Amino acid sequence: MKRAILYPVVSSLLLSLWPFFGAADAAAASMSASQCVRSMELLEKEMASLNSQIKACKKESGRQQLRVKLNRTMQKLRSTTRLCAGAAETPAATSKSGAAPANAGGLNLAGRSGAIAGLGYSGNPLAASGTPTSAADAANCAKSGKTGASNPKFDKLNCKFWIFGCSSIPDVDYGEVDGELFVDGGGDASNIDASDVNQGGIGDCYYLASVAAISRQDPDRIKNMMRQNDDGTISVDFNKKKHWWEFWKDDFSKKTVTVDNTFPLDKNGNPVFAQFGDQASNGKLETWVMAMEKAYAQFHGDYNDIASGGWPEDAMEQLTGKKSQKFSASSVTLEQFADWDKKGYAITMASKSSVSNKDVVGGHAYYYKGVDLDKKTISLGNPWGYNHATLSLEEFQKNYSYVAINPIK
Amino acid sequence: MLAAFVLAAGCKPVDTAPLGEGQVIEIRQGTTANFEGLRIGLSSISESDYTGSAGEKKHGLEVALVLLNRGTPPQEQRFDLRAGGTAEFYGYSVYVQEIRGGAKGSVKLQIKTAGKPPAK
Repeated sequence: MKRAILYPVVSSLLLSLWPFFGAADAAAASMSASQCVRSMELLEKEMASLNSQIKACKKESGRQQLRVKLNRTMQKLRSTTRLCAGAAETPAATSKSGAAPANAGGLNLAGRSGAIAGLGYSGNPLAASGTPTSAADAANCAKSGKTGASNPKFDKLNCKFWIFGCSSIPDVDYGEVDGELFVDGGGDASNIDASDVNQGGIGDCYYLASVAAISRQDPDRIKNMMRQNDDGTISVDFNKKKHWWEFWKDDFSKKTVTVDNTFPLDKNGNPVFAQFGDQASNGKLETWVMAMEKAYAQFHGDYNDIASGGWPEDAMEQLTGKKSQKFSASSVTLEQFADWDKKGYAITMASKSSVSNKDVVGGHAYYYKGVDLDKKTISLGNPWGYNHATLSLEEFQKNYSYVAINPIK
Repeated sequence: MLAAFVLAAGCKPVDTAPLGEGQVIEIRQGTTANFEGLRIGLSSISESDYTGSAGEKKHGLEVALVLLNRGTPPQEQRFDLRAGGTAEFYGYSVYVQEIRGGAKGSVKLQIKTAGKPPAK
């Protein structure tokens, strides 16, 4: 969201500077229009990332160094804009117009490259993540030995009436928990198990049902997304889907976010959002779902951005980097579910906002647990961690709107 | 336009009951909250006609709460309650103080441990 605000500012700045860049530079001929767009977009992303790092940085000295970097990046962006001036007839062809230059086909710049490398852009995949782009940045910004991993806000979750604004949940604050990322609970097939998912006080059932669906089908997928760093922080890889107009990009790009081991707790020290999973024999409680939820909040901005519902098909894509498919609940069969399951798909479903079956939560996301082809029933997991449902196909079709599947691999 | 927003906000049905005893917990539709060893999920909020305790015809909101006692083994039970109603479950007393309807409905509960001897 911050970047969305920054882009128009940057674009406006470039537009205002445009007349000073002069006529088309001869070097422009060495960059194709698409390279220009790509290069400028990367630089803008880097600027956006630096901006958010400055805001998250806890030390003035660290912020100062980041500001120097930001200025340097802005210089690079100006140079690139100058180089590209001849590659596009109008300033509207800059990257954040969101569209490729309309005249790209007529520029005849294909096959000429190298200018982007000359600009020295690092291409750091973390650049857009809001996490420090180097260990030095992390150290400069760290307070009490931690990295610059910031805590996503939850200050707008208590909205009674929109016109009177929103407030934070009372008596909730970040605190450390005595937990372990992964704990092998009794009866778990792996130390990552769908039964570890216990939704709390925010409306992110769509995400936690997706996490549970993937955990059930391929626990290693979740494990490979998460890394515990030496300083105790946890990095999680997500996949950002390209916008429809970004036709030159891959469908998904990796985005890593880093969170620390503190979570929103009530005054008694209990988590208020996602809950603990299993408990280890040494008494430590499992925190991987809480970390996944916090990371997802940071991936989207903060907890406010994920707390009011969403779509499991999108969440699964962000987790796996693979495209989801949707099917109307009224058209699916139990055999189809069994087949998808056998093929390794993560399967989620959304209930209708108004349901007739008392075992089903209305307007809620569930994950697939299994079918009994003899009894002709389907078992559905509630991301609450309890209140699971077993329904006949007819009841399922009556109470659910659609099914979303994701191939994971 | 502002008037329209005010009207829209004011049109959300709200049923309230007198304040009870116990810790106040607010839960939104489709989410859960904890009180000690108890988990409470708000499954649905519906609006319907019903007959009051004095036989009068009434119209109001009803919540479906799913309570889970995190004991061994865990036990869960669904309760359909209106404002002023109480669920007694494994030593906990869950009183419904307020129900808010609408797409983002919520319930305000007051919870206490029922029948627990006072601390000495």
